[in-house]
Amino acid sequence: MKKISIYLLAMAGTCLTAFAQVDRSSYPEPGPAPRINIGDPATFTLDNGLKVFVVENHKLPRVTYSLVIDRDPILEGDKAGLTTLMGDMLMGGTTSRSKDELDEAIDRIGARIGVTSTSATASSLKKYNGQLLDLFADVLFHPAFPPSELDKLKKQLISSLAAAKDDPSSIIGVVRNAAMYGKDHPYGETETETTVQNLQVADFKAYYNTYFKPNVAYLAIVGDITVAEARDLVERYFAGWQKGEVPTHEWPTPPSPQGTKVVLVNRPASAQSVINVGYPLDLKPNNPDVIAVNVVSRVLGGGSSGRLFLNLREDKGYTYGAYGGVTPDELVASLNTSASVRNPVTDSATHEIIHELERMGKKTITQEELDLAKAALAGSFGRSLEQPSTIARFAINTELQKLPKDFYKNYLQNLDKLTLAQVNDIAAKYVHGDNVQITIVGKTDDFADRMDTFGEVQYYTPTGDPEVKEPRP
Amino acid sequence: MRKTLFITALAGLLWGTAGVATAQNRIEFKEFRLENGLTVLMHRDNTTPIVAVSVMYHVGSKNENPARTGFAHFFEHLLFEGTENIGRGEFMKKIESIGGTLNAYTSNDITYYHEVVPANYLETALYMESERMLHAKIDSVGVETQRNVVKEEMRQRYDNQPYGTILRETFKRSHQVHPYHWPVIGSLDHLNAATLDEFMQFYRTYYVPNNAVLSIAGDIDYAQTETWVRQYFSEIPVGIGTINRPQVTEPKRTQEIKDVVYDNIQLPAVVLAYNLPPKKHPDTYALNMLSTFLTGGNSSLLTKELVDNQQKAVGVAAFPLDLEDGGVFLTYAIANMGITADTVQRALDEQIQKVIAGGITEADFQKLKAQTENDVVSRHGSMAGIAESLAGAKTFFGDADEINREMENYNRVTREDIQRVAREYLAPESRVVLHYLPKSEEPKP
Repeated sequence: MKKISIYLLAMAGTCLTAFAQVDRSSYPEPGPAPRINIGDPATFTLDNGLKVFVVENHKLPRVTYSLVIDRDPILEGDKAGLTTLMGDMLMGGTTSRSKDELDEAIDRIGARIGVTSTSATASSLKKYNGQLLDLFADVLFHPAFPPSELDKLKKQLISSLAAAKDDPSSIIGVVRNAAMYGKDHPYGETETETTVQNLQVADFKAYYNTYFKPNVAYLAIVGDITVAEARDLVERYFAGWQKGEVPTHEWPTPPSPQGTKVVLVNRPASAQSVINVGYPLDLKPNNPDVIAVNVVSRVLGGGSSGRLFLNLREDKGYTYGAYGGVTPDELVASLNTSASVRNPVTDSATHEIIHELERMGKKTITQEELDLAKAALAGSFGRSLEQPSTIARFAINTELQKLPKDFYKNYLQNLDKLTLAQVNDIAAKYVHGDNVQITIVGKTDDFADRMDTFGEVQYYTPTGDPEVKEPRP
Repeated sequence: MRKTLFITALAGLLWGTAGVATAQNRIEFKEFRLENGLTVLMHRDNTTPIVAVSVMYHVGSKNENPARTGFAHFFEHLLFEGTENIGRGEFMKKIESIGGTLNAYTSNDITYYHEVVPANYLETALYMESERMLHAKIDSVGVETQRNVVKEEMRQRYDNQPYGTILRETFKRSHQVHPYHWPVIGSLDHLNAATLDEFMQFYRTYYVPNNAVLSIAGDIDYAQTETWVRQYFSEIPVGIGTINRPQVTEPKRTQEIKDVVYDNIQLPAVVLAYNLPPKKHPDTYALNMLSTFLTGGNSSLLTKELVDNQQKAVGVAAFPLDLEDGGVFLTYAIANMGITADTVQRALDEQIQKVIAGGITEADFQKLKAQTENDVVSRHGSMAGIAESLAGAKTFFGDADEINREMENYNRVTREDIQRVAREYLAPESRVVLHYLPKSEEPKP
């Protein structure tokens, strides 16, 4: 009985088709494009130099405070691990609250406070705003740095370092950076049990006294708060923060690899090879090429329409995902491509990645690819504005990265203006398949003998040191 | 039975509302149903010119044939291959080319396809989802490619990931008769053995309007949206196969299951898994709060004791995986260096026993309420999130408005309930205990 009625319904459905006026053979025409409005946050600067951005948004009854410290990259050397633990040390208790009391007070109002060596965030419901700021200011301005807390954190970090030696995605990051930048570079150095053991309370105090200064800091306040309220609160809680001279640091740009080098880490238990192909390059975030480079990155390896994804996943079925692109950076930018592939196709997958890099360098971007990449970037820009924190982030980035004042306001227009010739020139300028570093973590017995066709092979340990023994024959 | 629960719940409500001042932001929505059984939910918010369009199919791994596991997840991949009118590989490209983003996921209970597009492309997104439901094109090339992709997904997520097999190993033991027994990603052998016909049959049974909820949230006009939905979805026929909804109940076990899993890890881990009641059970809210009490926030019981005070673990987490037919309350801790799994388990047991025996203090209960309130009030910050919450509430509770009763439901939970659910569900004799140990410790045969 039931079956029959379902059958009849199905028939009814089929009949409807005949009358439906809908044309399924082509995509519907879109409506007129909506205007994307980018608001400005309210901005003011305290006497101590702290720059504040306020974004009012009353949708949800909550407020978020985000503080960013702008300092040059530093080399931690034999104290590597200092910046990793800095945030936890700040959360380790204040001069008036033990860690237990602090944790309890935060949870009691359902708030969240998180700190790193260069940032701090606090959020809660609006009704707890005053208590939240009391706690946030206590963490930021009256840290106690208790030695017992440091002992505990050192032990935990050393445990995590041990765990990371078995995690392919941790290993590839450590080894890639160490081999590319050298261990004496801020981007290449690694934490070890020894460097973590070296850490003393005095090191954290010194870091705090050197870098936690309002004149290098930016504070974004987003949520259910008015600008006037925010101004009062910031005056009350942050005006007493003493400014000071913050040292700057300069680092040499690591050289691009001369000839392709192959860096292998043997992890006999691996069911897949984790592959990274890349190289360092010079591209500061405020370089006028950046928007075109973003387009090139998108075509190469952004999302599910990038060449890497289409080739390695959709065409070859080598991997669950392959992505890549160029990340601009003040100190040293880099191109990175990556994929996890089954062991036997490690060399074929590497070959395909390099093939895509070479092809990209030969001005092969088509109009269709350009249009797709532009649309994808514009769409992602538009969607990001759904979060009220985005325009605060835009304002802070503009300062941190020394961008043109109207970079974000003009972003969509400048993106749209790019021509095919321009992006192909940019592709040729920044992307190449030779002189790259190939880093692979995997079961090397399965593929190592086929890797020297790419370049000189060097084995590394999971902690980023060249292995002394010669590669096996 | 139901009546008693209702009365208890009401009493809880009266008691609970006194303590909480902030109301949950109400999510307004409109709902209608097509003749073919498709449920449609719409939420309008004109703040940003974007719209989230999603379809939740009420099919997950639990609906699969035990000899063909992994079908639902495989369809998550296959249904991006194309349709009669949308060429192979074009689906993802089209969404990106209109400035949208898309993805999908599969669970034991549902498969969810979703995209966010600029508001002026709402009709395009509806057209594409209707194509996917009406006549997806499934051919041998697509099947072959996606089989390989899924194999790699399996290696990446489980085999090459330390502790990656925790869920698989847990459900294998916690659910001996219920189809939650097998992992969502399924078996490669089953996928290899499946024919194109079997895939098509599964498609016509489960990916049909009478087994789906279409959920739309964003910068829309209600009337126009409804017109388009009717235009594109009305002609889709109802399903032809028999939808398999497992009726088995996992029997309560009376003896602890304890096993060792050797993995490529350095630090041992301990997993304690307790079977949960079905998602719709009123205790779900108390169990969520219990998990917050155990590991939500730095002052939570297990975090404070195991990580800070005793320093036996580098991390600990407890969370209910509340599935439709009853999932597991999963607790796991990763040992600090030099600490054995046995030591970690003893420490976990001691704390959990403390809650079972003594309950929680009034001060802790008030803290728990504040934490819960913060979580509930902070939800629904994005259109994608709202579309998903509405679809989930409709699918699992039969009523999308359930999302607006969340705070109310939490307010009903009493301090005594926390102890009661701990005692009732976290009993040692009915749990699964797994010790993850480094492979180097595996006894040689």
